[in-house]
Amino acid sequence: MESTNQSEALRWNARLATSASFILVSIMIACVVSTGVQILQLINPAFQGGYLIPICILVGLEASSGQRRMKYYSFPQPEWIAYRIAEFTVLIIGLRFLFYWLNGIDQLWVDLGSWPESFLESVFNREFMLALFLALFAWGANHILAEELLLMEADENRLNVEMMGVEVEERSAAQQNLRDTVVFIGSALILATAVVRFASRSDPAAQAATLVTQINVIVYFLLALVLFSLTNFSVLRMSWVIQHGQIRKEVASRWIFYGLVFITLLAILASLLPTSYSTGFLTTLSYLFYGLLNVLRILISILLLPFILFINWIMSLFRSTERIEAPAPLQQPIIPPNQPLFQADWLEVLKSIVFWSTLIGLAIFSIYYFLKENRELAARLKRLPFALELVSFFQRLIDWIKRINHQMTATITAGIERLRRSPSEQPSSFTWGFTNPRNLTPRQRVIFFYLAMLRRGSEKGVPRKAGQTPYEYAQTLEHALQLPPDVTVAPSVDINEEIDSLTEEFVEARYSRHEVTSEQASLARRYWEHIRHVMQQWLHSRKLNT
Amino acid sequence: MGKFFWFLLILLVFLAIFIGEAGDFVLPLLYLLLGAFIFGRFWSGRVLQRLQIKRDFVSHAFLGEQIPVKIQVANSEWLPIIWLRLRESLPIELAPADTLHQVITLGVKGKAEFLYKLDCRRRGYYPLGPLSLYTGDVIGLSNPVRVYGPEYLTVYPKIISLAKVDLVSHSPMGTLRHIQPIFEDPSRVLGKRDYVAGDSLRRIDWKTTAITNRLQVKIFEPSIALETAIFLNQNIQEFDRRTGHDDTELGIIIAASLANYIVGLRQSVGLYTNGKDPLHDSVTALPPRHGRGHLLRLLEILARLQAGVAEPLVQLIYRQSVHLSWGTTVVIITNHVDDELFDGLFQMRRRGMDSLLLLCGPVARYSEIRHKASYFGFPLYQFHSEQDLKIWRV
Repeated sequence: MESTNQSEALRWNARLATSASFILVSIMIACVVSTGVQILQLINPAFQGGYLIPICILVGLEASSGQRRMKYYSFPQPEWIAYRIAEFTVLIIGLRFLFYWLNGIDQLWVDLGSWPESFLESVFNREFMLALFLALFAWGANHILAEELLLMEADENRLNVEMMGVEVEERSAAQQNLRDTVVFIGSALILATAVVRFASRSDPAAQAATLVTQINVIVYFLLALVLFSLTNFSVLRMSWVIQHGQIRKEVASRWIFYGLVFITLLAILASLLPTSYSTGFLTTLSYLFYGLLNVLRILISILLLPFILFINWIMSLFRSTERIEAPAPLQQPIIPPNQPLFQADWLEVLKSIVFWSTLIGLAIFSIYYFLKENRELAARLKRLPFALELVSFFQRLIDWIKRINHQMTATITAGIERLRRSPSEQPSSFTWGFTNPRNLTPRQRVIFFYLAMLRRGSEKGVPRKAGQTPYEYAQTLEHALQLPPDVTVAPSVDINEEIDSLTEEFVEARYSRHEVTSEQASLARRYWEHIRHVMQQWLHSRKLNT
Repeated sequence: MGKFFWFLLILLVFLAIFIGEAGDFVLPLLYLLLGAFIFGRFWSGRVLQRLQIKRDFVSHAFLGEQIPVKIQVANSEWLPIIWLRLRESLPIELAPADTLHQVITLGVKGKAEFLYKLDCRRRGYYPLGPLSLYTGDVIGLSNPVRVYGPEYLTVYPKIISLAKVDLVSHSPMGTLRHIQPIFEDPSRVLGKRDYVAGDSLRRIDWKTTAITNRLQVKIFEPSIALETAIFLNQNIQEFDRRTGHDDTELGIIIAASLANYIVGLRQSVGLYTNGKDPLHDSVTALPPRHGRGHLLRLLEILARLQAGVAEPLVQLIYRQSVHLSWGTTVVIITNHVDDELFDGLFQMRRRGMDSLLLLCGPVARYSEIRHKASYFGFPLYQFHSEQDLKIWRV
């Protein structure tokens, strides 16, 4: 029962996806027809074909559904022939009546009168033939694409056969054919739009047509992306079903959601990126070059600044006190007006840089992938005499850029790491042996004496381990500094107490916010001196023992 | 994507460069198509590359156990995974009815978990995986694949609990009691008795003598040490063609059961076999050792062992027996006995070793072999199936 429900759901989903694809395809073909109408209107301004766009959508939908109906029939079969004849008859008659309805029904009565003498001339006149041509184009294109779409659809019977491994439908091939056809029609649409764009240069009346054709191209390709996404999901889902994969319910909904997000983001990105330029390529390059030179000049100035200041100071020592007559002012050169020396609007320059770099990047990328897809051509090109040197040069260039990138990344990472490090992890600001404690604040002095204890402890073989708290280290040090019973230091000194006190002082100085007095610092110094003394004794006794 | 797509891109680039004013529709289109291509590839490639996969399972199991395997998949990226197909390849001997083959979707930082159970129906060393992961972008421009390498599960061979096996040994002073007084162990004092003329002075228990005021001597318990070396034949050429596969498996079960029995007696056992170990190229030689840890090592080797064309067992015996110590009991598990093997057994006897012949499966000229073994004093047993081991289960 469950498997029957699943199979029913699968069939229903597949039909839904194919129907959605039929609608998309019919709108896409309507965009092409719309461009065709614009071109025909430019050629023959009397031609009015606006009404053909909804008609072509309907014709396209009819062609797709007819294709589904005739899926199991082929050309010589009488059912197929009968259906197609009926289909075309209805199409021609319907279009003709629509033509009469739009141009006025009186025309029908006039034509009816002339049918006995000149039937063909009155019915199939030039305008009607143009409209019929576009409608037939829409029918044909939809028919071809629907054929591929139906090959990708899940048919329960075929699916069962495929799941048993008897016969496998080439859905991927159908998908590829569909893409090729869509891209091919799209390329023709682009060329047609470019032609209209050219025509609009000389003919101001074609401005409106240009806008319409451009919108048609964009809409066509946006819908094509949606169609590709839909068919991709259909093909993938069928392959998962055939391979007995369990498909989670949310996959389909997430696919639609992420697909729409993806295409919307792309559309936004495409609309945001620069589409025109105010500065030519070479001028932009010169701006870049001069910009880099300026940066270099500033860097050199900064580097040489101390030296220049030093020279100035030396020179000032030998400056004469006598007043020197100022020389007569030189005549200022006259800068010709309207000749700015690389003074441009920085925003425009930036836009141009983005534009040109994007365009060149895209060109290189397209050529690279084109050669990657056509390996034979790439292999032929590689055999050319200069190609090897060129490839080697580019390889070296890429290696160099990679190396520089690696070094820069390492430097930046190290810098960020240094900045991120907490103050306690950073190397101490004390410079051992050169710091005069008298110049330090009482808080710094306490810390200084504690760090001195750490340093000396480390030298004596009791280093502080990473992660050891001051109190833990104090215990370790106390345990290590157990003097032999025969060694006496001073009757009043209890080394453990001294270490504990210095540790307490340090913790207070390091972590408290209240003021540390100079008395506390003096006390810390006294503790440290006692500890140092004991450490020396301890070391001496160890040497004697060994 | 097809050649037309690249043709279209080149056409667009051409138009963008050479027809400057056409840029207002050409460039957005170029951005749209190349954006779909680049971003689609980047998206699916990156998320699959950064996908974190973990397979949790117990790597060793006994026969008949069910091992749960948990696969965790985590998306560590800020990009969702639109679809992800996971397919786990499993050995047919262990595979459950529903193998892992799922299509899922993972959100940003999303996680998924899959659980399946393996039936350890047969001993062996099995790869779990590889786990193949497929994904792609919405348009279908790229379909990257990632393979998460296999991990291995060892299923120990069947062990039949044995109660009493007649393993002979002439190695004195061990931990096993013996009836022959020749193997008296001076560390095992059984009792005391009055001195009899001829008793060694070393046997006199001076403390007891002082207490009882009579000369007392110690009585020692005889004991033997059982150091066993199992020679397991896995050379398929020395087995019957029809039953070879079952016979080699039976040999492995016998070897595992014997090893378990001997370790249970706290004695040492070793294994020498000409079978193929997938982890090692060389012939397996595991010298006799004590303990459960050693037994597990031995069982692991037996679990991995594969019968195949290998060097004859006799050559293995000649090569490895020189490393065995005096008094070792050699257990030969094979299906093929000839004069050469008897020669080898004789040589080992001369070096102070005892031998036991265990035949797996039907053997040609069995009565002749039994006669020879009986004549030369080599204990011989034949097993046709696991049930025949009941003679040692009493």
